[in-house]
Amino acid sequence: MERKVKISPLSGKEIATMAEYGYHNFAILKKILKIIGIITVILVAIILYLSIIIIFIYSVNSSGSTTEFKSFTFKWYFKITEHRMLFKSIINTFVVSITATLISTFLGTLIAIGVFNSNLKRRKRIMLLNNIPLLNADIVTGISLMLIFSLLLKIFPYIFGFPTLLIAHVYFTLPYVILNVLPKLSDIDPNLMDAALDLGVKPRKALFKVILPAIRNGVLSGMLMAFTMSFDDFVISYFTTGNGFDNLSIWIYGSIGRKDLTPAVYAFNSIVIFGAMLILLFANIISIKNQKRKIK
Amino acid sequence: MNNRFHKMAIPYLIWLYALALIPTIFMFFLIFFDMEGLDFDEIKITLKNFAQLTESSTLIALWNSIKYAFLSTIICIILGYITAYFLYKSHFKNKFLILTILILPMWSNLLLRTQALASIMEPHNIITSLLHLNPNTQEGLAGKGIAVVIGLVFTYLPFMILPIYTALEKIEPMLEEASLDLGTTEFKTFFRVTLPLSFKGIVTGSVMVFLPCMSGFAIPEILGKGNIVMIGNIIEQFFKNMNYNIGSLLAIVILLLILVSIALVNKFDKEGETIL
Amino acid sequence: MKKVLIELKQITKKFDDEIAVNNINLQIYENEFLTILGPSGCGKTTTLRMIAGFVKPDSGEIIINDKVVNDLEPYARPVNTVFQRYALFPHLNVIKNISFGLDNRNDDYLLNFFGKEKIYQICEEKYQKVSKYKLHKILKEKIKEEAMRALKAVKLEGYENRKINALSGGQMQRVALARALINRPQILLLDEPMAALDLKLRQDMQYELKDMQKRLGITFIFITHDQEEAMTMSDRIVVMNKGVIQQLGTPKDIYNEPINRFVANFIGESNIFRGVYNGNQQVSFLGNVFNCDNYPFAKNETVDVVIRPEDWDVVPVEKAKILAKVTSSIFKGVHYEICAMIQDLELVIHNYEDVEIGSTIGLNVDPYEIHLMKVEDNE
Repeated sequence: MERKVKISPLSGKEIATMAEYGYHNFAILKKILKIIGIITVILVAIILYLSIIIIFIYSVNSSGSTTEFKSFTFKWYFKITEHRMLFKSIINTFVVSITATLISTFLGTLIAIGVFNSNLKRRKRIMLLNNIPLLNADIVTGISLMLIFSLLLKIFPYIFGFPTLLIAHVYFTLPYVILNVLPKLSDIDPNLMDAALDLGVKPRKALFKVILPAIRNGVLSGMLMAFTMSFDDFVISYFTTGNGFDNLSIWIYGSIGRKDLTPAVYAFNSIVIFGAMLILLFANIISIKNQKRKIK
Repeated sequence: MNNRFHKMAIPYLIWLYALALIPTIFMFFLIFFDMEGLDFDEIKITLKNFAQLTESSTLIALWNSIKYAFLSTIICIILGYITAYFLYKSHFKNKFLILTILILPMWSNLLLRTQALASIMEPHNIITSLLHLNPNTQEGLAGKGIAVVIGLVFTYLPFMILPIYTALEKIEPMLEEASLDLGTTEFKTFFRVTLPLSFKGIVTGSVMVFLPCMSGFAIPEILGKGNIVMIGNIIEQFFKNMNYNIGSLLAIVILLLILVSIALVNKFDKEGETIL
Repeated sequence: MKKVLIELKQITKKFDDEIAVNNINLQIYENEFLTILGPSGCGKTTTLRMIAGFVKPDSGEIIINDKVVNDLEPYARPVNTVFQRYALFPHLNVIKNISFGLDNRNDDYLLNFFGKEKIYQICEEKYQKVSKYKLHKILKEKIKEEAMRALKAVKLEGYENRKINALSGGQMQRVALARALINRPQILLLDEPMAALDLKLRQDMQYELKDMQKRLGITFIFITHDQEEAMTMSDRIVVMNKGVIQQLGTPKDIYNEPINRFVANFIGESNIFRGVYNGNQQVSFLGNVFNCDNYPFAKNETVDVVIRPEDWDVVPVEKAKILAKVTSSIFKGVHYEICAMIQDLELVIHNYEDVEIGSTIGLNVDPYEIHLMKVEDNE
């Protein structure tokens, strides 16, 4: 079989081809796969952001309809506070999420330190149980908590509402904090704590001066995750609330059922997304700056 | 390192027993009873609750749940793997930004997102209005099974991408070079090295997508328009009607599926490094 | 005349704006143990990765077997690598790691690899007929046999089903070696394979590697920053610094006749002085005129003079050309390491007898032990 031999101008030697080593040249196939990859990534970006864009369009549509675009307006943004039930549910959502996040972050950090210092047996048992709220289906978690709270109904007749919702949210956000903090604790030099205690620092002081600064990033990312989960939760809240204490998700679910969703809720959602975008962008810029400083 | 800090973990253990373990046991007992709500005065021990498991409505719902959750998981694996692989191979190594892009949609309310999706699946929708398209006479997707699958994929895709990306990132880049060096082409290297080493990410991602897909009730309700009933909808109905016994029974069925899934994750990802 | 197997021709590689390798020319012979020696960041790893095909040069050509292989993917090159941290596959056991290269080849390749006639013959004997499927089966058995043989060659019998993370560093290295050698490469690249081993194991491995290279007749290109390792094993050494080849030669040449200050300092201990070449086999330094070998330097050219510590002769003061004051003397096992000052210049001397600290000693040096080097412009 004749093959074309290319000669290199630099050395005057023959240029090797993949074929003579028994390989095909896959350049075209590679290009096709790359194009498929790019198309998929674009598709995924659309999947992730399509509904957010649609929600934004609804929020600036003056007709308030989800089928007909009339003209551009910001009026719904001013109606968020006017709609009594919507505004109440927004306030409830913030109150529950922020309180639950703060409690979870505080307790979760202490628990993580406790778990880290426990013996292996207890540590394993806690970590196994800790996975239950995390991996259990929301509906089962919701039902379980509702059943437990129902048993308390005889003692505390008005328990359903804010108290149950708060307990439920603390319950399912705690594992996120613990799982974020624990690996950071293992990264600490085990001698650090001993050294601090050895130097006569009281344990509580050592906790604040030595351990907390070292696990700060874990605590923060655990807090962020806890808030995200709490803020967006529907199913668990749905089963554990009562006495008309609705958070945003529950209110939306009811409104969708009644087919009277006010466009103001789209406006609120868009504000949250823009706010989050700004915060995360800002955090990203800071982290890049920090990295650059470290390299220097 | 066994100092007095370990005491801080004990209350949590009690808390977990109280809120995670006891309700499950309680639920397990409920399935053998027949009563009104949680009224223990008129309690009867019975096995008749189990008859619900053979009801055609239950079976159809269970089948729907598994079918749609399975389909959605497969689609998520394909889209999620390609995306995660693309991100991993691109020189775009800013993990924080990737996380941001994937997590940001979650700050938008799940139900609102689903409702927005449902609305653009109607034949007349905001996009046709904006683009001045002739409202076509075809009926929309809303109310069909495919609408539910699309809704599930749109909602849970990030939960697939993240663990796969994490697993890929943990592969020593030298290993792919070693494989190429040993005469293995890029394609074979992918199937012999990269894919097996990122498999635990796929398993974790699949569990994290499959479970909520199977057990949720809001997405099938909003996108299925009542035509598609999944197991979550039935459970919700039973609890709404204060029938805690049958509700618990169906919840236990889901719980069993979850236990199998957790065992699967444990088998492939012992350190749980792809979960968070 | 030995056959050239690999040739690097005017190879340059930049990363961003940093030059990693700057216009390198190098010929590597068949069946040779060549070491690329240099400090970290000198471009040695980049050079190796270009030969393996992981990095493409910006300009210049890599020629293997008389063919330009620049555009050849790593998997097509007749080159195998033992990686620095071994890069063994954690999801496969020892034997599957070793047979990885052969496992993933097609049957045509394997037939040629094991010998077509031989395989056909085995097939004929075993099944009385030859079919694609039967051949495939025999090839798979052959791979297994070959892998077991490789395992035995690196003295790891009985470890075939072990998991990779249950091996020690030394065992991992043997697996990495077997995994590369089973493919019968023409060229084996070794990227600081001993860096993670402890001293004793490293010395054993040095002899084993050298022995293996001789027995198999494969060209080894070995990368290290450890000059002792390079001296022990190599046929030739390439000393690199800042992306440029400083010197190429046998270990003896490089030790005895370093070409510049960098090489003299990097290879062994040296005393380096500024001096002037007087012509007529004479050089003056340290205020004295010494006889030396003939060098092609101009008369009165400034030169660097190298004298190895063991080349000094300690002599009675009255017979000495140089007098130095002893500042320390440490017993090093075979010899004493003596530090002595001439004004503010410090000398290192290796001597078999102890001298008193604070005393003045006389030093001489034989003409053939004085080595002169050209002074580099940038110094």
